[in-house]
Amino acid sequence: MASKDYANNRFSGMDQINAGNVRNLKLAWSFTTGVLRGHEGAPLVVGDTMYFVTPYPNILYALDLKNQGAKKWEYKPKLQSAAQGVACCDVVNRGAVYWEGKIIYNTLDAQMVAVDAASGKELWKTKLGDINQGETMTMAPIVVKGKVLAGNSGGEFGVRGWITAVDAAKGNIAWRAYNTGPDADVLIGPRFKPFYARDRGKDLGVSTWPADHWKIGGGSVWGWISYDPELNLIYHGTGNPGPWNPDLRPGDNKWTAGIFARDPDNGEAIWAYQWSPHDLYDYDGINENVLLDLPIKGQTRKVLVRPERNGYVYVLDRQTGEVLSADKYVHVTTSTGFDLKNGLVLEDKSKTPGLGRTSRNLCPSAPGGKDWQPSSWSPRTRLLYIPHNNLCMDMEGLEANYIAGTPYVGASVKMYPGPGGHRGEFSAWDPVRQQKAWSIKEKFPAWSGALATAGDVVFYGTMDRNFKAVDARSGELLWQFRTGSGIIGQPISFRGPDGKQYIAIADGVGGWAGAIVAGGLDPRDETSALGFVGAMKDLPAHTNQGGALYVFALP
Amino acid sequence: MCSRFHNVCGLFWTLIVCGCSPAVPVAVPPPGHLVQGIRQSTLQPGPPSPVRLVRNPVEGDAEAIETGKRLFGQFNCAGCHAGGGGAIGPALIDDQWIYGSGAGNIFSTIIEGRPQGMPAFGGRISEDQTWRIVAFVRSIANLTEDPAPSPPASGTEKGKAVFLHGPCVMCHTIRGTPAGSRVGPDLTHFASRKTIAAGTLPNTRGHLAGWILNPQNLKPGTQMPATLLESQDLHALLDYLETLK
Amino acid sequence: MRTILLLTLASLSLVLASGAGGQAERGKQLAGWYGCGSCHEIPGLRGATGQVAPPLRRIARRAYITGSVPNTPTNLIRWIRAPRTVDARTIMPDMKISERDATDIAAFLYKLD
Repeated sequence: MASKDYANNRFSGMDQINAGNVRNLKLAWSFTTGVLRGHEGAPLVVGDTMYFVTPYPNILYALDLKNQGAKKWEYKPKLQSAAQGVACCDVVNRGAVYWEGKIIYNTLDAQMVAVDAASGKELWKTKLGDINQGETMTMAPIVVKGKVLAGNSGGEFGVRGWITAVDAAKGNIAWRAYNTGPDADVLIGPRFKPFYARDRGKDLGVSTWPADHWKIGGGSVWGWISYDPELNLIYHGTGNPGPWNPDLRPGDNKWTAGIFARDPDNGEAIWAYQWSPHDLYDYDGINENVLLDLPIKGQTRKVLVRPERNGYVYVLDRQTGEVLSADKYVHVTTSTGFDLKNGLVLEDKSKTPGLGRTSRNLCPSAPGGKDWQPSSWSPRTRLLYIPHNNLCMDMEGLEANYIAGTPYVGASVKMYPGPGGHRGEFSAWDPVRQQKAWSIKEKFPAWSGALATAGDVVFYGTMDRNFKAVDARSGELLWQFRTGSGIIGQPISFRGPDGKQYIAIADGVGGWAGAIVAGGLDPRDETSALGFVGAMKDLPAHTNQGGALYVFALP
Repeated sequence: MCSRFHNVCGLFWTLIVCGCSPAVPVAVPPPGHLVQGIRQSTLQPGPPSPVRLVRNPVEGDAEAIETGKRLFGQFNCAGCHAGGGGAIGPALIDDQWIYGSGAGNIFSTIIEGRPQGMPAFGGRISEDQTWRIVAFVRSIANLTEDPAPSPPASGTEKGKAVFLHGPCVMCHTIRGTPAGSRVGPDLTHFASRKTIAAGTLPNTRGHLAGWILNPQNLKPGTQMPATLLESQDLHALLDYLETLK
Repeated sequence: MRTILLLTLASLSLVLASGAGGQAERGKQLAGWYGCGSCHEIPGLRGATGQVAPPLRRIARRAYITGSVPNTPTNLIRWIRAPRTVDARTIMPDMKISERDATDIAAFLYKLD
């Protein structure tokens, strides 16, 4: 799976490549996908084959690792090209999952497809969403006990967010849980025990919205899903409420910008928590939940660690949903701090955006302290390696009209660098000490995933075309490679058929941060790409579109 | 072509007729006629014709632009195109126009939608509203009135132009002109023929007009398609064909 | 009442036909030659099945012709000879028909059932 394991650690136990020898890393082979647009995917290695899903048109490649990435086969799904018109943030795909001889992934036009891993033949294809309702799919699914778990995208289009379980063998829908609306739809029942009092009550997914607005309220599941086999719980975040303009949806807007713990067998909600009730800043709550057992105040607790959009690294008890700590990892002005007693961010109300006014100097900006780009944990250094942003924004509230299949946002945004002038950072965070161990400033948002290895090396890529290996303990740059296009993909490590350790990454700039290049946008309009263009005017000078896999090894 | 998009054409041309003000010259063939105004390609089979551009009835009108700006926001165009810089959809303020920057091109893009994700607004917003949005988009792109169409040819040159820039050139040869297709009979010495339509009609103007305008009725099963010309084009064409001794 | 009506119409046709002053039989041949039937349905004229323009049956009875002028022999002859001088937008071509030929054709048309 794209997240390497159910715990979302993204840690490679291989140590052939280590801090001592990584400087000798060489390119073994590369493979051009033939697709331009943002390559956010993680390559998947099963046995002797590497699989990769491209951005739209979501071609699945099978490459022969015994033969320097020779093409074994490719699978081209039949897709609705109009889906590109309802994908907010570039036509990305974050990866596939392997299960019992099948490669399973989601397509932009909200279908899930299973392909035979040996032959490339399509086995089943199931329609999960409707592009005419503004739904697309971009996330990397996982398989838990024979069911594929996936969620929709479209919080900028007034979709109703859901997570769906699909039978991996036959492709029929096993269960679906919505994230807004009545308890029956959200699969909230007698087993639901949220930790905080404000999350208890009947049909809060209706009553915390103005009449019927929960039907177009967002709460999509376009990010990461973790699973604890021992507790039999899956953890997934929910996206922003729609529209962005908060004046149009008074109330806590449950259960958007939050996290659910659910029973994977039937989707029943066990607990929930909102990172940002009545979200004001598009702080989607869908980032990765890293499942760890950590010593907190003398006890080992089963926790999940979440570097969240709103600028705090949270540590939650993953059995109950209690917030154990929440600490800023970026410059924050939208809140003043965290109230641990009530488990709530302390909003700075003076910053609240709304209709007919412009709120300025909102930090972190809409893509948050960190967006989708996943962090990686090293059990050796006990550090969480977080690729993230350093951005602020001004936001003006506008009228928002819901017209199905068109954007439902109601805001005009301009982003700019945060304090220091650098727009990205790669930080090593100590979740027990609740502080950064070290941090590397980057010119552009660090929009790629991170990979920590047992060789005490951490890999990540930059939007200005550098694939970097840094020392896991000190952050010292040990090696880098100049790729053809900027990097927003997820690096992986694998053992090749020859027994050697390999590192693989895709280049191909894009995503929301790279929209100015991916979409050929005009920098004169700083509100383009939901405000990101204003902060990224110089990106085209550094990189064009691209799309290739790079595989590295020691000579 | 018109038969495929007849709804669009019908509405479109109706709007042109109703929406134009006397001061703005507009290409206004009645419904059912050849659609000549909107092209997405600069390539044409046969000799290139000067394009008779479709004009926006409210091009450059300040009030229309203001209305168009409001509609641009209300109908969520800004959601995909931002303030013109683009987002999900392409930028509208640069000089890259995938489907053409003419007023008619932008109009048809909005009404018809486009394959890579532009929704089809036809039938959901009125043509009046669409023209106002077109006026706004062209204003933020700093596009001014399209150049005036080249003046039409006169005399038999006009009829020759009708022949070469319309469907005739796709099937008939007239030696000495760029028309060299062999699908239909060679018309180089057309005026010297005693009969037309494979010998079934005398070669007189009346028969010829009926043949050009409605051949299926005279000879069912013929490959010659109906060519519904504007009247002045038909008269010019008849004059021209008569010179082909 | 009905008989009177029929008689009136019949005499109108005769009046018009004689007012045209032409030879209807010759007019029928000319109508065929000039190609009137390629655009107009004309009863009794072989091959005259055209659907481009209105059928000409009982044209004698119409109050107006060409959609714009009263139905008089003078107007009809002028129309046949130089259509665009009556209606500039008409699709009907100028077939370079002489005065004599147009008069005979008019006589033929006014006799149509």
